[in-house]
Amino acid sequence: MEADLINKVIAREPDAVEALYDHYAPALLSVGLRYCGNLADAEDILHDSFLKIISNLGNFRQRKNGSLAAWMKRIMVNTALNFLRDRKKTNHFSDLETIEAVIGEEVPDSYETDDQYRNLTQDQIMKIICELPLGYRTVFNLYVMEGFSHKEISGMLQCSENTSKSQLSKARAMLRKKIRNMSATEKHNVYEYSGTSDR
Amino acid sequence: MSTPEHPTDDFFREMLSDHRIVPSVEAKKAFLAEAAKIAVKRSGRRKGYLLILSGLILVSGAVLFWIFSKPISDQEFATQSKKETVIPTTIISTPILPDEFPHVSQTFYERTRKIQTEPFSLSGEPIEQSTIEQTSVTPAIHNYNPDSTILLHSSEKQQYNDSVPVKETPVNSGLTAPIVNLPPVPPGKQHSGSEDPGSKKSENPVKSNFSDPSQEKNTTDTLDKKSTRESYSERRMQIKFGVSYVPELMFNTLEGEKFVNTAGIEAILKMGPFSLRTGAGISVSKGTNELSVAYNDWMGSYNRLDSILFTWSDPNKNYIPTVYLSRQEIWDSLMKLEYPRVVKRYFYIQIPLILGYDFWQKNTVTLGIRGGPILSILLASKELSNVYDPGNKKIISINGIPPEQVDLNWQVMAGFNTSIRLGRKFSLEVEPNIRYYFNSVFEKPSTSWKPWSVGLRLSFLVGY
Repeated sequence: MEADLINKVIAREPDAVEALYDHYAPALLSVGLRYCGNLADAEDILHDSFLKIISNLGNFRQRKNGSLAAWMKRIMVNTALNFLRDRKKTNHFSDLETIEAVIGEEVPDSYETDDQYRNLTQDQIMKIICELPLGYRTVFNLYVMEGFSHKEISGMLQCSENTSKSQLSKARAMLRKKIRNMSATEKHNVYEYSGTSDR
Repeated sequence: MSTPEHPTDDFFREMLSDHRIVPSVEAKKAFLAEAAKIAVKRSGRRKGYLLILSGLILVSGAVLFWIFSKPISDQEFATQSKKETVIPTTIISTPILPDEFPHVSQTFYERTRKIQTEPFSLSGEPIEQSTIEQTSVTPAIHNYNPDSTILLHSSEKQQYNDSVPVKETPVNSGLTAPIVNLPPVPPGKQHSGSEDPGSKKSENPVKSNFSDPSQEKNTTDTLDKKSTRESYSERRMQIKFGVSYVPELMFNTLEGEKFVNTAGIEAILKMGPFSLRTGAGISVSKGTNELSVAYNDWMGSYNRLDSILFTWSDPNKNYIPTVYLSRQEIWDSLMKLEYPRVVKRYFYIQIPLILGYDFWQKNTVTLGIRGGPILSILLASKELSNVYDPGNKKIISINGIPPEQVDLNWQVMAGFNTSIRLGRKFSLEVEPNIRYYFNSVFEKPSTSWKPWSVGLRLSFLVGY
């Protein structure tokens, strides 16, 4: 099924290109939004990523289901990082002292005991991730969501490993703080973007 | 890749693993419209296209060279020589008597007679009279040297290409040879060969030049300076060949800044102040490529029992078992992904087509501007880092993650050229330049600014 679709996209059949887009674009746009923090930029990245994907699909060799999605996701992540680098944003790691003031007191690591964690929706989580400062958000996404090591992140963002660790620690603390401070009324507000969520 | 062990990390991963946002209709339409423009990628056709493109550039360069360097045919020459035949004011058509020019010394008269009657060669070899009489019009020669002597012998033209741009005259029956140290005659100052020999200007052509040696020198100097200026714009075609090296620092690439080295051979066709440069160079650069490796983790191994053979042993009255085992590897059924990076060295061939204009010249230094397109074609790549080692993992697939190195890219170059003459034939060119990459070697398609670079071209040239 997926192999057929790939072959048709390589042959530039319009219906196949559209089907590929319809099938994979929503998941990739979610990834882009996590990195950019706003939907307009995320759609730009999605656009560029999909152009790269269909241009290079002929070189892709699929042997098992799922590898195409992973391959496409990685292109999306790289394009997002490139986009942020181009915009001179990735090195804007926030002033730690300022962030300390925002973070405030530490909160427990375990979310399982906290009802606020259990009641969060996907859109709310996306919202608080998007609200993170750019440096925090980038490191958080790369480490937590993509599974890169600090060494790999330091190479990608051209910063030290310690900076990466520090940014991640602060990002976690800020996320916990934001979740804890989220009021009951805010919990029911849906994150404002023009897409729809599966959940 | 790490496996984060943190409760909040797991929470975020689980919650967002299936998060979806449907793109807007406008975004979808924009993508589909642009996707429709992307041509079908067929490697065979692409290679053919590249070959045709590079061939076209080389052929167009060669054709331009051929057009501008085409030698004048005999017929054209005859027509041209008829039109342009001149009798320089210094050529003596009849023996000069000392009585007519009392201010000309007897020694000079004798010397003149000797020159008239004894053809000479710059190489010192005797020249046949008939050869001299067949000398033809030599168009103005590029590298004018006011101190050079006149060419007479056709065989010496090749040897002394850098001589004075003076038109030789088919020698009449009364003529024997021109005189050495003849200043160049600007076209405006030349007399037509069809000019009435009895006209006022050619009435006594020798007088003005041989009236007084000091005056002659002054006149010569003045003419030298004037003709140097004029000859600059009237220079004829010249071809130069050479080798060049261009260190280049690229900015705004996928990996930040990148150092690129290019070395090659080049040919320059010069036509007055204008020039056309082409050639071929090998460009070498390093780049990092990312792979997407899908694999199953290795869990361990065990010895599987294939069979047991029991053999009866009579002496012992028992069966002796022989066990046949085979080693079996166990892999996880869960597919995992990793993204190793490989560093490669890329070799590109660069074919430039650079136009130039020299706006200033003094002694041995010429300043000019250069600009034009450069075509780069990927020739080969070589892995510098260790080849990806999967260990015991069971590899499902390995795919390169774009952006990758592109096979073909276009650059446009603009530079400031300084040419230093090192001798009659040799020259050195130093050219700081800026390049803009239309489709980058290092990323495609670019999301925002294209890469650009600053470079310094150093070239050693031999002119003909």
